[in-house]
Amino acid sequence: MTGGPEVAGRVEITARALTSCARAVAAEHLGAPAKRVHVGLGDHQGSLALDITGPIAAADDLVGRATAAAAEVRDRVSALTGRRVGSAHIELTGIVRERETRVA
Amino acid sequence: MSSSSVGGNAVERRIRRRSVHRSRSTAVSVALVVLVLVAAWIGTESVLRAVGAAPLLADPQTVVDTALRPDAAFVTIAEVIAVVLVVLGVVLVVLALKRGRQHRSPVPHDRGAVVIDTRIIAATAANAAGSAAGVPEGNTSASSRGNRTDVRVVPVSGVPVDEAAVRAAVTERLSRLDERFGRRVKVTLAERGTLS
Repeated sequence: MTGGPEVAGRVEITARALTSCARAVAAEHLGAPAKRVHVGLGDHQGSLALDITGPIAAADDLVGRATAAAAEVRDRVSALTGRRVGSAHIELTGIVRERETRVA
Repeated sequence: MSSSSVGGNAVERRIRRRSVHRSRSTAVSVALVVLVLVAAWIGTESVLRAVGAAPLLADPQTVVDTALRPDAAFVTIAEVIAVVLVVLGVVLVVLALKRGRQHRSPVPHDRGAVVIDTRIIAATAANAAGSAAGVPEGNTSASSRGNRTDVRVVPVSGVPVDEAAVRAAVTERLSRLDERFGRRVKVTLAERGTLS
């Protein structure tokens, strides 16, 4: 990421910041608490690759919701960080209910 | 070639040539010292023989006689000595005939003789490539040899790098040093990027 031509220097975003950002976005779109969502970053042919692991909010069509969430997370992270996101892979580990009861 | 493209007076041309080419004085000194030692030994033995005193190491006449009528042990020694001499001779011939260029290039300057190391050219190319590609300093590396420069860029994940733009930037920056450095620039992009 380069600054404008009138500004010398460069803006760098650390991997840690990217991970936190992607984690918050993923938690928001999955409807799960950020504490339980984990995001790994990788490279996919020069683009950013997201590896999301976490629960999803209870719904009728979980697969459909997860697929939609993957696309939304990809677009949102791309818009927020200015990086091209190549792939978002979601691994569901459980369901979060409204009342926050524990799910086995 | 290089001395014709940059001008200057005789002293500057001479300084430039001496900076770009490696000195052969070490090889010449070693060879001369060996020659002097052998000559001194032969002289000493000759004088000792003429005086009638005992030889210092070996009587030259005896050495020649032994060499002309060799026995089994002496043949192996002679072979070893011959091989060593051949290797030394080849080394000296190579040192004498090689162009002996250092990794430096003269650049034109209105005052004085200016010679720059190829590492400077490589670092300049890497720096230009880094700012053109928008990657951190450590993600680019470059090597330079003669007039050709190879630049390797590891992109940051999610930030596309325009190879042509990087090459143009490197060419432009190197041409500021001297136009011949920017002629042969090769840019290689890594397949996988890094996160930051």
